[in-house]
Amino acid sequence: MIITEKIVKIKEYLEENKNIEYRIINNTLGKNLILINGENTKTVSKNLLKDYEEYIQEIIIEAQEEDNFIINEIKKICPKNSVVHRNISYLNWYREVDIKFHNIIAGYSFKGGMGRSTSLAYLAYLYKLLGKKVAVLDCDFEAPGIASMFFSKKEREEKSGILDYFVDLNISEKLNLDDYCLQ
Amino acid sequence: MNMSKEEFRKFAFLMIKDSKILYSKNSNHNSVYFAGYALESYIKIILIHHGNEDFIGHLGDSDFLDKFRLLITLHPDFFTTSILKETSSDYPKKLFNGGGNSDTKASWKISSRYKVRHWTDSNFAQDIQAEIVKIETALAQLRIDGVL
Repeated sequence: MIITEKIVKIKEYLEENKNIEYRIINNTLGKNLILINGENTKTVSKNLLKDYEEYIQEIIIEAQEEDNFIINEIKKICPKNSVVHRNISYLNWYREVDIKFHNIIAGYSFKGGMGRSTSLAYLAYLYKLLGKKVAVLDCDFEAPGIASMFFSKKEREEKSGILDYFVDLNISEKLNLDDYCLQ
Repeated sequence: MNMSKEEFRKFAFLMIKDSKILYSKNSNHNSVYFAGYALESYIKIILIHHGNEDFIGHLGDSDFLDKFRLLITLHPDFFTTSILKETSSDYPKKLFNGGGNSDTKASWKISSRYKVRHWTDSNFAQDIQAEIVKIETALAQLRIDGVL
Protein backbone atom coordinates (compact mmCIF):
# COMPACT_ATOMS: atom_id res chain seq x y z
CA MET A 1 0.00 0.00 0.00
CA ILE A 2 2.81 2.40 0.87
CA ILE A 3 4.65 1.54 -2.33
CA THR A 4 1.47 1.70 -4.41
CA GLU A 5 0.68 5.18 -3.08
CA LYS A 6 4.21 6.44 -3.71
CA ILE A 7 4.26 5.07 -7.27
CA VAL A 8 1.00 6.89 -7.98
CA LYS A 9 2.54 10.15 -6.70
CA ILE A 10 5.77 9.66 -8.65
CA LYS A 11 3.69 8.93 -11.76
CA GLU A 12 1.50 12.01 -11.20
CA TYR A 13 4.57 14.21 -10.86
CA LEU A 14 6.08 12.82 -14.07
CA GLU A 15 2.81 13.33 -15.94
CA GLU A 16 2.70 17.00 -14.89
CA ASN A 17 5.80 17.39 -17.06
CA LYS A 18 4.21 17.06 -20.47
CA ASN A 19 7.48 16.85 -22.39
CA ILE A 20 8.84 13.94 -20.38
CA GLU A 21 8.60 10.32 -21.43
CA TYR A 22 8.97 7.95 -18.49
CA ARG A 23 9.19 4.26 -17.62
CA ILE A 24 9.00 3.01 -14.03
CA ILE A 25 10.12 -0.46 -12.98
CA ASN A 26 9.03 -1.30 -9.45
CA ASN A 27 10.78 -4.29 -7.89
CA THR A 28 9.82 -6.54 -5.01
CA LEU A 29 12.09 -4.60 -2.66
CA GLY A 30 9.70 -1.70 -3.09
CA LYS A 31 12.25 0.37 -4.99
CA ASN A 32 11.71 2.03 -8.36
CA LEU A 33 14.06 2.29 -11.30
CA ILE A 34 12.98 5.26 -13.42
CA LEU A 35 14.03 5.98 -16.98
CA ILE A 36 13.25 9.49 -18.22
CA ASN A 37 13.72 11.22 -21.52
CA GLY A 38 12.72 14.65 -22.82
CA GLU A 39 13.00 18.23 -21.60
CA ASN A 40 14.25 19.39 -18.19
CA THR A 41 15.15 15.85 -17.17
CA LYS A 42 17.82 17.05 -14.73
CA THR A 43 15.35 19.21 -12.81
CA VAL A 44 12.72 16.46 -12.82
CA SER A 45 15.29 13.95 -11.53
CA LYS A 46 16.43 16.33 -8.79
CA ASN A 47 12.87 17.04 -7.64
CA LEU A 48 11.94 13.35 -7.59
CA LEU A 49 15.00 12.49 -5.52
CA LYS A 50 14.23 15.33 -3.13
CA ASP A 51 10.71 14.06 -2.39
CA TYR A 52 10.93 10.29 -2.90
CA GLU A 53 14.57 9.33 -2.46
CA GLU A 54 13.91 6.32 -0.22
CA TYR A 55 11.56 4.80 -2.81
CA ILE A 56 13.91 5.31 -5.76
CA GLN A 57 16.59 2.82 -6.68
CA GLU A 58 17.97 4.86 -9.56
CA ILE A 59 16.88 7.51 -12.04
CA ILE A 60 18.40 7.05 -15.49
CA ILE A 61 18.33 10.00 -17.87
CA GLU A 62 18.28 8.42 -21.32
CA ALA A 63 20.31 11.10 -23.09
CA GLN A 64 23.11 10.85 -20.51
CA GLU A 65 23.32 7.08 -20.19
CA GLU A 66 26.29 5.43 -21.90
CA ASP A 67 25.08 1.86 -21.40
CA ASN A 68 22.69 1.23 -24.30
CA PHE A 69 21.94 -2.26 -23.02
CA ILE A 70 20.21 -1.00 -19.91
CA ILE A 71 18.11 1.40 -21.99
CA ASN A 72 17.13 -1.45 -24.32
CA GLU A 73 16.38 -3.81 -21.43
CA ILE A 74 14.19 -1.23 -19.68
CA LYS A 75 12.32 -0.53 -22.94
CA LYS A 76 11.83 -4.26 -23.46
CA ILE A 77 10.39 -4.66 -19.97
CA CYS A 78 8.37 -1.45 -19.70
CA PRO A 79 6.30 0.42 -22.33
CA LYS A 80 6.61 4.21 -22.33
CA ASN A 81 4.69 6.23 -19.75
CA SER A 82 3.83 3.21 -17.66
CA VAL A 83 4.74 1.24 -14.56
CA VAL A 84 5.68 -2.43 -14.45
CA HIS A 85 6.29 -4.61 -11.44
CA ARG A 86 9.35 -6.82 -11.64
CA ASN A 87 9.69 -9.71 -9.24
CA ILE A 88 13.08 -10.61 -7.85
CA SER A 89 13.15 -14.23 -6.82
CA TYR A 90 16.32 -14.36 -4.76
CA LEU A 91 15.11 -12.58 -1.65
CA ASN A 92 14.98 -13.75 1.91
CA TRP A 93 11.45 -13.02 3.09
CA TYR A 94 11.92 -14.33 6.62
CA ARG A 95 10.75 -11.81 9.21
CA GLU A 96 10.46 -11.97 12.98
CA VAL A 97 6.85 -11.24 13.96
CA ASP A 98 5.42 -10.23 17.29
CA ILE A 99 1.86 -11.37 16.60
CA LYS A 100 0.90 -14.53 18.48
CA PHE A 101 -1.54 -17.06 17.03
CA HIS A 102 -2.56 -19.81 19.42
CA ASN A 103 -3.77 -22.40 16.96
CA ILE A 104 -2.83 -22.57 13.31
CA ILE A 105 -4.46 -24.84 10.74
CA ALA A 106 -2.61 -24.93 7.42
CA GLY A 107 -4.41 -25.96 4.23
CA TYR A 108 -1.99 -27.41 1.72
CA SER A 109 -2.11 -29.44 -1.44
CA PHE A 110 0.14 -30.06 -4.41
CA LYS A 111 -2.57 -29.64 -6.98
CA GLY A 112 -4.90 -26.71 -7.61
CA GLY A 113 -8.67 -26.97 -7.88
CA MET A 114 -9.07 -29.60 -5.16
CA GLY A 115 -11.23 -27.47 -2.87
CA ARG A 116 -8.50 -26.25 -0.54
CA SER A 117 -9.74 -22.64 -0.40
CA THR A 118 -13.40 -23.68 -0.14
CA SER A 119 -12.66 -26.12 2.71
CA LEU A 120 -10.66 -23.48 4.56
CA ALA A 121 -13.38 -20.88 4.07
CA TYR A 122 -16.05 -23.23 5.48
CA LEU A 123 -13.77 -24.27 8.34
CA ALA A 124 -13.11 -20.63 9.21
CA TYR A 125 -16.86 -19.91 9.11
CA LEU A 126 -17.56 -22.93 11.32
CA TYR A 127 -15.08 -21.77 13.96
CA LYS A 128 -16.56 -18.28 13.80
CA LEU A 129 -20.02 -19.78 14.47
CA LEU A 130 -18.48 -21.62 17.42
CA GLY A 131 -17.46 -18.23 18.83
CA LYS A 132 -13.76 -18.35 18.03
CA LYS A 133 -11.70 -15.46 16.71
CA VAL A 134 -10.53 -16.52 13.28
CA ALA A 135 -7.97 -15.02 10.90
CA VAL A 136 -7.61 -16.45 7.41
CA LEU A 137 -4.35 -15.88 5.60
CA ASP A 138 -4.32 -16.64 1.88
CA CYS A 139 -0.78 -17.55 0.87
CA ASP A 140 -1.62 -18.21 -2.75
CA PHE A 141 0.29 -15.14 -3.89
CA GLU A 142 -0.37 -15.65 -7.58
CA ALA A 143 -4.11 -16.12 -7.43
CA PRO A 144 -5.56 -15.47 -3.98
CA GLY A 145 -9.25 -16.32 -3.82
CA ILE A 146 -10.48 -16.82 -0.24
CA ALA A 147 -11.30 -13.13 0.27
CA SER A 148 -13.79 -13.29 -2.61
CA MET A 149 -15.83 -15.85 -0.64
CA PHE A 150 -16.36 -13.42 2.24
CA PHE A 151 -16.23 -9.92 0.79
CA SER A 152 -17.55 -7.99 -2.22
CA LYS A 153 -15.28 -6.78 -5.01
CA LYS A 154 -15.65 -3.20 -3.79
CA GLU A 155 -14.61 -4.15 -0.25
CA ARG A 156 -11.63 -6.13 -1.54
CA GLU A 157 -10.40 -3.29 -3.72
CA GLU A 158 -10.25 -0.94 -0.75
CA LYS A 159 -7.53 -2.97 0.99
CA SER A 160 -4.14 -4.36 0.07
CA GLY A 161 -3.14 -7.93 0.77
CA ILE A 162 -0.40 -10.03 2.30
CA LEU A 163 1.96 -9.55 -0.65
CA ASP A 164 1.72 -5.77 -0.37
CA TYR A 165 2.37 -6.16 3.35
CA PHE A 166 5.62 -8.08 2.71
CA VAL A 167 6.78 -5.59 0.08
CA ASP A 168 5.98 -2.61 2.31
CA LEU A 169 7.98 -4.19 5.15
CA ASN A 170 11.08 -3.40 3.07
CA ILE A 171 10.22 0.28 3.41
CA SER A 172 8.73 0.52 6.89
CA GLU A 173 8.80 -1.68 9.98
CA LYS A 174 5.75 0.07 11.46
CA LEU A 175 2.82 -1.00 9.35
CA ASN A 176 -0.81 -0.98 10.35
CA LEU A 177 -2.17 -4.49 9.74
CA ASP A 178 -5.68 -3.05 9.36
CA ASP A 179 -4.58 -1.55 6.05
CA TYR A 180 -3.91 -5.03 4.71
CA CYS A 181 -6.77 -7.17 6.10
CA LEU A 182 -10.51 -7.28 5.57
CA GLN A 183 -12.77 -7.63 8.62
CA MET B 1 42.55 -5.61 -3.79
CA ASN B 2 39.07 -4.66 -2.70
CA MET B 3 37.00 -3.54 -5.66
CA SER B 4 33.33 -2.59 -5.66
CA LYS B 5 30.55 -4.06 -7.81
CA GLU B 6 30.40 -0.77 -9.72
CA GLU B 7 34.14 -0.89 -10.47
CA PHE B 8 33.78 -4.42 -11.85
CA ARG B 9 30.81 -3.31 -13.97
CA LYS B 10 32.88 -0.49 -15.48
CA PHE B 11 35.79 -2.87 -16.01
CA ALA B 12 33.52 -5.41 -17.73
CA PHE B 13 32.27 -2.76 -20.16
CA LEU B 14 35.83 -1.61 -20.84
CA MET B 15 36.89 -5.16 -21.68
CA ILE B 16 33.79 -5.72 -23.84
CA LYS B 17 34.45 -2.51 -25.75
CA ASP B 18 38.07 -3.50 -26.42
CA SER B 19 37.11 -7.06 -27.27
CA LYS B 20 34.73 -5.76 -29.95
CA ILE B 21 37.39 -3.44 -31.39
CA LEU B 22 39.93 -6.27 -31.52
CA TYR B 23 37.43 -8.62 -33.17
CA SER B 24 36.57 -5.99 -35.79
CA LYS B 25 40.31 -5.80 -36.61
CA ASN B 26 40.58 -9.62 -36.88
CA SER B 27 42.65 -9.90 -33.72
CA ASN B 28 40.70 -12.99 -32.68
CA HIS B 29 42.95 -14.34 -29.94
CA ASN B 30 42.92 -11.17 -27.86
CA SER B 31 39.24 -10.47 -28.56
CA VAL B 32 38.51 -13.79 -26.79
CA TYR B 33 41.05 -13.09 -24.04
CA PHE B 34 39.43 -9.72 -23.23
CA ALA B 35 35.95 -11.23 -23.35
CA GLY B 36 37.03 -13.60 -20.57
CA TYR B 37 37.51 -10.62 -18.27
CA ALA B 38 33.91 -9.52 -18.92
CA LEU B 39 32.59 -12.88 -17.69
CA GLU B 40 35.04 -12.89 -14.78
CA SER B 41 33.87 -9.40 -13.75
CA TYR B 42 30.22 -10.46 -13.98
CA ILE B 43 30.88 -13.43 -11.67
CA LYS B 44 32.84 -11.22 -9.27
CA ILE B 45 29.90 -8.79 -9.06
CA ILE B 46 27.72 -11.71 -7.98
CA LEU B 47 30.37 -12.95 -5.53
CA ILE B 48 30.63 -9.48 -3.97
CA HIS B 49 26.84 -9.21 -3.84
CA HIS B 50 26.83 -12.33 -1.68
CA GLY B 51 29.48 -11.06 0.71
CA ASN B 52 32.77 -12.23 -0.86
CA GLU B 53 34.17 -8.71 -0.86
CA ASP B 54 37.88 -9.40 -0.60
CA PHE B 55 38.06 -12.53 -2.71
CA ILE B 56 40.85 -12.64 -5.28
CA GLY B 57 40.72 -15.20 -8.02
CA HIS B 58 40.44 -15.68 -11.74
CA LEU B 59 38.39 -17.67 -14.18
CA GLY B 60 40.30 -20.93 -14.58
CA ASP B 61 41.59 -21.05 -10.99
CA SER B 62 40.15 -23.98 -9.12
CA ASP B 63 39.63 -21.76 -6.02
CA PHE B 64 37.58 -19.32 -8.07
CA LEU B 65 35.42 -22.03 -9.58
CA ASP B 66 34.97 -23.75 -6.20
CA LYS B 67 33.84 -20.45 -4.70
CA PHE B 68 31.44 -19.96 -7.58
CA ARG B 69 30.02 -23.50 -7.25
CA LEU B 70 29.58 -22.98 -3.50
CA LEU B 71 27.67 -19.79 -4.27
CA ILE B 72 25.30 -21.67 -6.58
CA THR B 73 24.71 -24.26 -3.83
CA LEU B 74 24.09 -21.64 -1.16
CA HIS B 75 21.89 -19.35 -3.25
CA PRO B 76 20.06 -21.57 -5.75
CA ASP B 77 17.20 -19.07 -6.04
CA PHE B 78 19.54 -16.39 -7.35
CA PHE B 79 20.71 -18.64 -10.13
CA THR B 80 17.26 -19.64 -11.31
CA THR B 81 17.17 -16.38 -13.24
CA SER B 82 20.88 -16.14 -14.01
CA ILE B 83 22.54 -16.75 -17.35
CA LEU B 84 25.16 -18.68 -15.37
CA LYS B 85 22.74 -21.54 -14.84
CA GLU B 86 23.97 -24.21 -17.25
CA THR B 87 20.46 -25.04 -18.44
CA SER B 88 19.77 -21.40 -19.35
CA SER B 89 19.44 -20.77 -23.09
CA ASP B 90 21.70 -17.74 -22.56
CA TYR B 91 24.43 -19.68 -20.73
CA PRO B 92 27.74 -18.45 -22.24
CA LYS B 93 29.14 -21.96 -22.62
CA LYS B 94 32.07 -21.26 -24.92
CA LEU B 95 33.12 -18.20 -22.99
CA PHE B 96 32.87 -20.04 -19.68
CA ASN B 97 34.77 -23.07 -20.88
CA GLY B 98 37.30 -21.07 -22.84
CA GLY B 99 37.14 -23.72 -25.50
CA GLY B 100 34.79 -25.48 -27.87
CA ASN B 101 34.02 -28.69 -26.04
CA SER B 102 36.19 -28.64 -22.94
CA ASP B 103 34.39 -28.18 -19.64
CA THR B 104 37.53 -27.85 -17.55
CA LYS B 105 37.92 -24.09 -18.02
CA ALA B 106 41.60 -25.00 -18.48
CA SER B 107 42.05 -22.47 -21.28
CA TRP B 108 41.62 -19.66 -18.75
CA LYS B 109 44.47 -20.87 -16.55
CA ILE B 110 47.28 -18.33 -16.71
CA SER B 111 49.80 -21.04 -17.59
CA SER B 112 47.59 -22.32 -20.43
CA ARG B 113 46.76 -19.07 -22.17
CA TYR B 114 49.97 -19.14 -24.22
CA LYS B 115 48.97 -22.48 -25.68
CA VAL B 116 45.35 -21.85 -26.59
CA ARG B 117 45.22 -22.33 -30.33
CA HIS B 118 41.46 -22.16 -30.98
CA TRP B 119 41.15 -18.57 -29.78
CA THR B 120 42.60 -17.50 -33.13
CA ASP B 121 39.79 -19.33 -34.95
CA SER B 122 37.40 -16.80 -36.48
CA ASN B 123 34.28 -18.94 -35.89
CA PHE B 124 35.14 -19.39 -32.24
CA ALA B 125 35.85 -15.67 -31.82
CA GLN B 126 32.54 -14.89 -33.52
CA ASP B 127 30.67 -17.16 -31.08
CA ILE B 128 32.40 -15.42 -28.18
CA GLN B 129 31.25 -12.04 -29.54
CA ALA B 130 27.67 -13.34 -29.48
CA GLU B 131 28.13 -14.51 -25.89
CA ILE B 132 29.47 -11.21 -24.58
CA VAL B 133 26.22 -9.59 -25.72
CA LYS B 134 24.54 -11.92 -23.22
CA ILE B 135 26.91 -10.68 -20.52
CA GLU B 136 26.06 -7.06 -21.39
CA THR B 137 22.35 -7.86 -21.15
CA ALA B 138 22.84 -9.73 -17.88
CA LEU B 139 24.76 -6.76 -16.42
CA ALA B 140 21.89 -4.46 -17.42
CA GLN B 141 19.44 -6.80 -15.68
CA LEU B 142 21.54 -6.79 -12.49
CA ARG B 143 21.32 -2.99 -12.52
CA ILE B 144 17.54 -3.07 -13.06
CA ASP B 145 17.22 -5.51 -10.14
CA GLY B 146 19.24 -3.21 -7.91
CA VAL B 147 22.17 -5.63 -7.50
CA LEU B 148 24.36 -3.00 -9.10
